[in-house]
Amino acid sequence: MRFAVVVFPGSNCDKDCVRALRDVMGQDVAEVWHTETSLSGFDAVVLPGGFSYGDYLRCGAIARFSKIMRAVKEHADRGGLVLGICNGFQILVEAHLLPGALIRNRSLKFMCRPVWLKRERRDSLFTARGEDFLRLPIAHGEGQYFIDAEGYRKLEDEGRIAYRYEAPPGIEQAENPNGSVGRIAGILNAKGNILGMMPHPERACEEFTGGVTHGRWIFESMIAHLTGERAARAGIAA
Amino acid sequence: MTDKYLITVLPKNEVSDPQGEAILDSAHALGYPEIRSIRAGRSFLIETDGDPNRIAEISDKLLANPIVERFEVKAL
Amino acid sequence: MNATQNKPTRAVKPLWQELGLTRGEYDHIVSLLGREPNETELGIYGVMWSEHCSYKNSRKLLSGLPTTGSHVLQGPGENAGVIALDENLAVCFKIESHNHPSAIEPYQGAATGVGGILRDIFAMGARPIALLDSLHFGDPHERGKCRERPGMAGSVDPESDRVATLVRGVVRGIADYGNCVGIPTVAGETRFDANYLGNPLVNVMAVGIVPRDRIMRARASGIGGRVLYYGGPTGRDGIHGATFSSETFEEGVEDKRSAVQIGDPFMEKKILEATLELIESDAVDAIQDMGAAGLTCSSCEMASRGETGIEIDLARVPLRAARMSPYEIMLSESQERMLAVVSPEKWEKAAAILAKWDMKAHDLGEIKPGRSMVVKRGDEICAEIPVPSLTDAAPLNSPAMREPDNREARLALHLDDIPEPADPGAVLLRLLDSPELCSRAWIWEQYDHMVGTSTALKTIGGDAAVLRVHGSEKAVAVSVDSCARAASLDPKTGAMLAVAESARNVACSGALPVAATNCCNFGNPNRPEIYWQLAQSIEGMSEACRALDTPITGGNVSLYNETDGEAISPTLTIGMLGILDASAHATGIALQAGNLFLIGSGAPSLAASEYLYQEHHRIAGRPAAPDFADERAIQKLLLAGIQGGLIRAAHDVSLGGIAVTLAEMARAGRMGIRVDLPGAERTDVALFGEGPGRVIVVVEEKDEEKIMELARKFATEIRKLGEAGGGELVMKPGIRIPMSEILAAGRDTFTKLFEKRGSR
Repeated sequence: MRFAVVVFPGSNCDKDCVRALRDVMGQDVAEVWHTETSLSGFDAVVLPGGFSYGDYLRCGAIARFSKIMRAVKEHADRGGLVLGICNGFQILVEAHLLPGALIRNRSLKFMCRPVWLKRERRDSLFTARGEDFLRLPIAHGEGQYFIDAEGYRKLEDEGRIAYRYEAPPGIEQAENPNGSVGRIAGILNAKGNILGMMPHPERACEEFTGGVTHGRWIFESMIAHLTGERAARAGIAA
Repeated sequence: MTDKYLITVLPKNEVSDPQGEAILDSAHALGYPEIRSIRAGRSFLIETDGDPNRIAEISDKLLANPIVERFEVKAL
Repeated sequence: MNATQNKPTRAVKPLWQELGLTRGEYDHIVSLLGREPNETELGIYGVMWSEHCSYKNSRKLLSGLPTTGSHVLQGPGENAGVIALDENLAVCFKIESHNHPSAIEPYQGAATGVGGILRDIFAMGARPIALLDSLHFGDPHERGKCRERPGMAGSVDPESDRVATLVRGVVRGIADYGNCVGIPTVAGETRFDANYLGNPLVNVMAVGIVPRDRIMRARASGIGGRVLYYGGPTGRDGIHGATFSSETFEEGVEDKRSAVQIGDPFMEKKILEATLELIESDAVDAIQDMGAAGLTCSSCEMASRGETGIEIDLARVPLRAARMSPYEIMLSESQERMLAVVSPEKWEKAAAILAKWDMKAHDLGEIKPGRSMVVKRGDEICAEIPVPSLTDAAPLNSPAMREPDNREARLALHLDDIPEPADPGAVLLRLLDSPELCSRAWIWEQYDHMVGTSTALKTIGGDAAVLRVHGSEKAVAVSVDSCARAASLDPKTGAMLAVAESARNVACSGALPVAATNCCNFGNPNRPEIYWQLAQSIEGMSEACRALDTPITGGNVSLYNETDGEAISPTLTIGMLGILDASAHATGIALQAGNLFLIGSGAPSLAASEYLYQEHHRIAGRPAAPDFADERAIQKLLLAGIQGGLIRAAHDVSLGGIAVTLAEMARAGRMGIRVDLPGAERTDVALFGEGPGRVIVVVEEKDEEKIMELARKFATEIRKLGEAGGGELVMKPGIRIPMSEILAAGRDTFTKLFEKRGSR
């Protein structure tokens, strides 16, 4: 499959995403500079982590206005997959492609550590593969997910909460690393083809960097979906 | 004609503000128990030659995130 | 042309003093120029002849250091040292201090320290892959005891806890800067002692990877080359001293110069990417960052190394503040600025790359024949100085030295005066809970230690961090160490211990130590005792680096670390670089199933030990020097054992002795231990005694004979201590503690000490 990793000035997990997708997952990956206007030809788009534009106004607030974001929206409207990781998630909420907002961690501190997540949806395009509990690193200062009560109910009712911070039974973990509403770690858009998440799957694709390889499950799910879609298209064409 | 505006951006009341709370604790510790609440935000000083209505527009679009923040425009 | 036309309106005399020059140095400048210098020129001499740029007090001592070796591609003298990694790639690394700025403004001081050392690395063409920090603070329990000084952090509120304010600010400064630029901070050390209360130490090390054929040097070449300035604008940040220029008297309040440098990590990230792209596209001939002494130091050093002249026009420098004088522009220490030399035909290419990163290419001037540095502003000549007079002719001092009088008394330690502990288990828990030995997670979890997907997760929080290198089979290991407690008793031995320990740490992670960088943090060198400490430390470092075959490829000297005549302990920080044959060999300290062995011939002693300090409030004894032959044998055993798959975990026996070392392994592996410790004349010596030359390793039962054989082969001692497993930490003699207590000990120490609600 063909993946685009969007690079904004200040992105700093772009190369990590490229390596995970290309070297570990064996996909065709291209870095796409923020001034590009088209994403045609790509099956999936990744908005990587980092500090786009220094996160100087608010995280993701400036990147949202870059040229590529129009193309990201068009790609999503066409049904293409979009994965926003960390700063990428922040950009997606600032761009209103996902609801809510990401604000300063409850602890006021940047936090970098592996955490346990629970998969809330087993049937989404991003979560179909793997197991119910994943251990992925977080690394953010502003990852507290906020949404008003009505919005939260809507997310729950529509099954759009992809991951919550939660450890498997018997394993100790701080209840909520950043104070997110409903311990939310990742959410989907209404159509289910955009996932924004604070934890970093690309850091847990190899044991060397992540201790575990649970990050692969997310990419495997995306690839499986895209492969199926392509096969279906080929079937129709035939 | 250049006009000056001060835009103040604050977290909405229903949104938690750990920074403001931390500063409040600090104020109490420094001997200001009478202070009841602190909300921490940002402010922007803007000089413009254009239409004043566009100041509110840019505040809503860029300076504040309406989901968690409110803003106030003051002409100087 | 007559440079004296810009002669200042006020008397120059006080200026040389304020710049830290002596009367003799001033007279020498006059004789070099053949006339009186103007204000700008004197400012240029002042910074170029400062310790930071000229090493005038330490150069003679440092000249004896070993700087060459089979791995060394670039020794001291460039922005950073370079070591061969494999046939194609090289490792670039250096450590630098930012002590004084961090004492004044801990957040910005530490942040800009990170920025400065990163620029040194990428100016060499290397992509930074890791940061490390060595931090020394005052005793966190001595709250508010420091005399307040104007401008010192915490002076606003005399009741405030100065150490906590510094720790929070420094850690957040390093975190915010490094995290934003996207360079993982992977290892470090944090030490506390009352003598650092007024003078905290912030030493930051950076490591980068560069293709061997693309190592960039800061050497002007090619007459006619354009002088390219890019990055942030020049403001009044970091210009020291009082007001020098008559113009500034009329300026408004907002234009007051600020001694605090402000960091902009986003700009740093952009100049990092742009610089690497400039070098990769062969668009520049030389690059140097504008660090300490800014434009002065960078332009002058480029011309000096290239043996050329240089002419720059200050009217073309982008400015942040209005009405800056030539003096201010030349001496500004605004951050995130780079200077390059570009041949005219490549200018467009370079400008296009900078434009991609939203930056302008500013053409400041030209590389000229001859050896003159000419600074103009429009048509006006502001300074005209022969380049060699700034560099080669810089003063070289040999201050007097004297061994301190009371030294022998402090070296004496009579064990009869020290009562043996009644409950060694309680002592162990107290040590694990102490600021010196508690969990450092509170610090390293604020650092993004994983960005770059190079860091071996299992080495985080251990002896040395291992980073794989994309595009190479090999990996690198890094560690920073200083043994200041021992050095305060015996600076030479302390220096040798620091080198030996950092080499041992790197070896424990599976790497061969190959080279080192150093940061000398000392008091005022004009005091004979301090200069003696400096001389002794450098001698010790030199001897140890020679013996362990780890040449010094660069570093930094920070002097005058004293408050009210009280100097810090002599603190030599060693940054060690090791190379692993394969990233798969990365080894951590976390306990694994198997048996525990103690290797090495080192003998435990209470001299300068953490136990003696924490439990008996004494710093005393004669620290034992490392046995370098045995240190090398231990290294060989570790490498062979790790490469052969025999050693599953390894941990250097350091602060707190065997008891603390084992507890740390148990804590990291969340697994109990049952061991019999080697007998000693005293329980506390056996459990908590320190000293070089000891490492604990975990080996599976089936491999025991093989590890014994390796120890025989390399002729070092080995002894089985016991086994891993169970829910208790049992050490004979005297300790039996449930693992739950070990896991809890020291977990929240930093949170309790430093995380006061209501702090920034």
